[in-house]
Amino acid sequence: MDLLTVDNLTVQYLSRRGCVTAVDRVSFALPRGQCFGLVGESGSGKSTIGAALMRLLPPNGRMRADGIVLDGEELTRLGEEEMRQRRWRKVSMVFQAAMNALNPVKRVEDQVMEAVRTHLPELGTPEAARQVRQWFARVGIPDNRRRDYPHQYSGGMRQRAVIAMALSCHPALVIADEPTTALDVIVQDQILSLLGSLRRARDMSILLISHDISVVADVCDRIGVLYAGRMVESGTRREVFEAPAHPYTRTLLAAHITLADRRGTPKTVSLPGPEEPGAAAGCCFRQRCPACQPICRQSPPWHWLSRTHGVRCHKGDRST
Amino acid sequence: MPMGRYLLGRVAESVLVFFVILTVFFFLFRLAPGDPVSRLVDPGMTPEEAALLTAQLGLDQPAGKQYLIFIANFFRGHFGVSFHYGRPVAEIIARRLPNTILLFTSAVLISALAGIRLGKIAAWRKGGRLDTWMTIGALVCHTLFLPWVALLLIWLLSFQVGWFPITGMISPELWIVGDVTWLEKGLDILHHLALPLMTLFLIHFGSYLLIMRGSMLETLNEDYIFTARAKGLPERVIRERHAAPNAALPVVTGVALSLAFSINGGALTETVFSWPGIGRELVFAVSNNDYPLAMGCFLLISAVVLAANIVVDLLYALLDPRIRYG
Amino acid sequence: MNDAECQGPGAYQEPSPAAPAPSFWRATWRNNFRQLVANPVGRIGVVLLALFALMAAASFLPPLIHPMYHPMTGVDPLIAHSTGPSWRHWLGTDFIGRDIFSQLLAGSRVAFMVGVSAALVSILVGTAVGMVAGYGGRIVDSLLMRLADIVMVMPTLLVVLILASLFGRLDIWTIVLLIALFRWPGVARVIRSRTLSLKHRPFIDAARIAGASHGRIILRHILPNVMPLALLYMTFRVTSAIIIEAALAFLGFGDPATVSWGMMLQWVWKTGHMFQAPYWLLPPGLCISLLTLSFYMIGRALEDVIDPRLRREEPDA
Repeated sequence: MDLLTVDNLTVQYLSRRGCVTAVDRVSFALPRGQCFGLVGESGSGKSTIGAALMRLLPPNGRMRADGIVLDGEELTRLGEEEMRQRRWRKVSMVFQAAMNALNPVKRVEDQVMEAVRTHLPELGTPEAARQVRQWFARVGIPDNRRRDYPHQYSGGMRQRAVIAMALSCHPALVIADEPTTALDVIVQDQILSLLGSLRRARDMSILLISHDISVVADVCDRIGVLYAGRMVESGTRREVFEAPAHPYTRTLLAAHITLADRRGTPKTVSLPGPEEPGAAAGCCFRQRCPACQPICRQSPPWHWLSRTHGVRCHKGDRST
Repeated sequence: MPMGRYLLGRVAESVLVFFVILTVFFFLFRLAPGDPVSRLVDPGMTPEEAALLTAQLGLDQPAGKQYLIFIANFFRGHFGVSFHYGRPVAEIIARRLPNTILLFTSAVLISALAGIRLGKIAAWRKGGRLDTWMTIGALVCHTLFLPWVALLLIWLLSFQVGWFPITGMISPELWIVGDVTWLEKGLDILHHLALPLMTLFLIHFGSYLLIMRGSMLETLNEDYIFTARAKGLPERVIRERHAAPNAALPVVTGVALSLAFSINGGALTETVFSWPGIGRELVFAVSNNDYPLAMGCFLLISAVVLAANIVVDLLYALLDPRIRYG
Repeated sequence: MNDAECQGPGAYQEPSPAAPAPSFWRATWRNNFRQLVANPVGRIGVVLLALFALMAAASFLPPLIHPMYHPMTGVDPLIAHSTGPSWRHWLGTDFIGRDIFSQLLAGSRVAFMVGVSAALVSILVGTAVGMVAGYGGRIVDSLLMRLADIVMVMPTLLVVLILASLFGRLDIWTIVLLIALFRWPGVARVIRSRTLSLKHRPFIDAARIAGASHGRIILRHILPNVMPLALLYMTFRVTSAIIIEAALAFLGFGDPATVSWGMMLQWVWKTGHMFQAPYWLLPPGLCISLLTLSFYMIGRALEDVIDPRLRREEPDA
């Protein structure tokens, strides 16, 4: 059974100039214990999906969904107080830009402790403190640094602290929103392997949000590709990497040049700026698509290529 | 220890600033039209007294030496002798200073605390009716003309209703009678303090409210507030423990920056209510051409502003770990 | 507003022949004004300000109607003490029979004069110092900013008081000048930090590489970009200048040749009429408060128009 299923999630932002659709009828499922990667460029709506799952959209955001079921529970029907109790206990977050994710005037340990005391009050203070200490040890923060303030940490340590905080209440699902973006490559690697090993040890599921397809490739079992607020392709890692069906996915993969790729100069791809999400009818990738046809003026349907692999393109299976 | 060095730097800077102010004043007194001796030595003194004072102030010396004597005298507490009271300026100031500190610090503290509380609520309910009214109320209070408010309060609450004494700090008839307890004397002072305090409060709390509101709104947009929400903390905890403490920091700076401005208001309040403080003494001295007293009061006020700035910096450092652990 | 910065790709699209520079500026101004008035706070401020401007303009009329309505020298021959409102004197008369309403109108003119001219001078000084400090950097910067710190800790009202006692009575223009000279540091600080942030933008580097002199860079490239901020601060400086002048007059150190609202309050206070003559006590204070309120409200609304992120924690007025 799937831990999380999202069915036709739409998020819109109301601004003074009108209504912007950031996420447009996105559906996906995340099996228990697996890692799902959401890839897309900035503005594709991937972070908005994370916030919507927590039901923490900014005041001008509106969400609609046919269903968001987490662990057998329909999140959209919960009251605000019930939802508050689910946050961090059921679904927690590892944030992007870890510097500001921690409160600068509170000690790091206290911030982790606060989460545990709020959601697991039955533990009692000494036991909670013991568990928090364990978490710091698990993510590799030395014991004498626990009582520091966030600004005294390095970027990597802050990211570790944020991970400790996210896992401290044993959530079933962790949404990791660009967890490695602000870090240098070596630390990125450490953080990713830390996340991976903790996931396996604790049987958690991860929704990894990233603009970097290589990060997703390293960690995820399944991948969803977002473009302009729409899911354009999703499937297992093998399916997406070895048989990309959507022109956008292929462009993304081509733009990602690995060192192993020695055959000649890399293919350069010209990528003009994306249009406003949901700006016009038809295929959202139409204007950048190398294989655009008249039929692309109509909205493409979702084609299933296999039980797990699907694509939103008129060419569907034929394009491979 | 970065904190100690920081503090030392601030003190050194303030001392330097104070020296500049002292120097400017020294030259101002000598550049102003008229004879500096007649400015600093009471024309009504006997010649012997006058000669003694002239020598003590170094007025018979060349300008360079006069300057040194002036500085030395300042730090020895020789500000000269008041024309009006015929007593050393230092003595008068020492008597007035506690009264000013009582009125001023209580006013700043109460209005800052109230401003922080109300600003927090206004920001939390941004856009609501309560927020709108609080903001407008704060704007109006902040721009009220202080002496006018003071006069209105006297007219309304003292003259019409009779709740509070009209002016002064004590009721002399009460203090002359021997058998009054300290408690009664204290209550008497509080009774007199009420109106001046109310005036200063009305003028100040509005600006603190506006600063706190703006700062709180900015804080609520920070990532760590989103973290706190995502952590599933109750809204009250987010407001009180995550947003408010961070948002209150700029108010502390605001208090420091507005200190010179508040001192103006303090002097006006003291004058209208005849509160026997330094500000009133300064206005009084200026009106009566009592130059030594006026200068002494002004220099002392400058020194107090500088010192208060350091105290506020220190407070800020204590509240903000980013400075404490540089 | 900051046209120099905004030459992104958008600027290279087909040039529209129907948009010459003057109408662009007029449109910008009209647009900003509309935004200002769209804000309820700004709207109240503008209405109040218009009201006081009307009062100031009308202040020339009463002496023309009858010499007894002259705010300073006009005395009603029938009245030699303070009387309440009547048809002859709408707001009553003061202790020697002068018309309070005419004084109130004249006070409005004085307040505008003091407020605007003092603010103008302090903004000029502050902007100049701020730009030079920010652009010059190093020694120039630290010298000018230490100077600003020194001036900043001095309570303006008390300094002017002391100077008044040393140099004898000050006329209104000296007072204006003194207020201006003690109110520039706040402006200078803000302009300096803005200049610092501008200094390393590409368009400044480009101008430098193109051989522009420092003076030219400051005047042609930095000044236009700090202008909106200076304008914004001007509204706050107007309020502080009006308040300081009024306080000075209230304490008895105003220019004896002008009738200001502070002076009227001093008369009511010093002649002991504050308990008997609310008709005399209320109007001048109300006018000072409302006029400063209107400038302050316009300032706050302007802040939102110009740049909402500019909020500086400086509670001054």
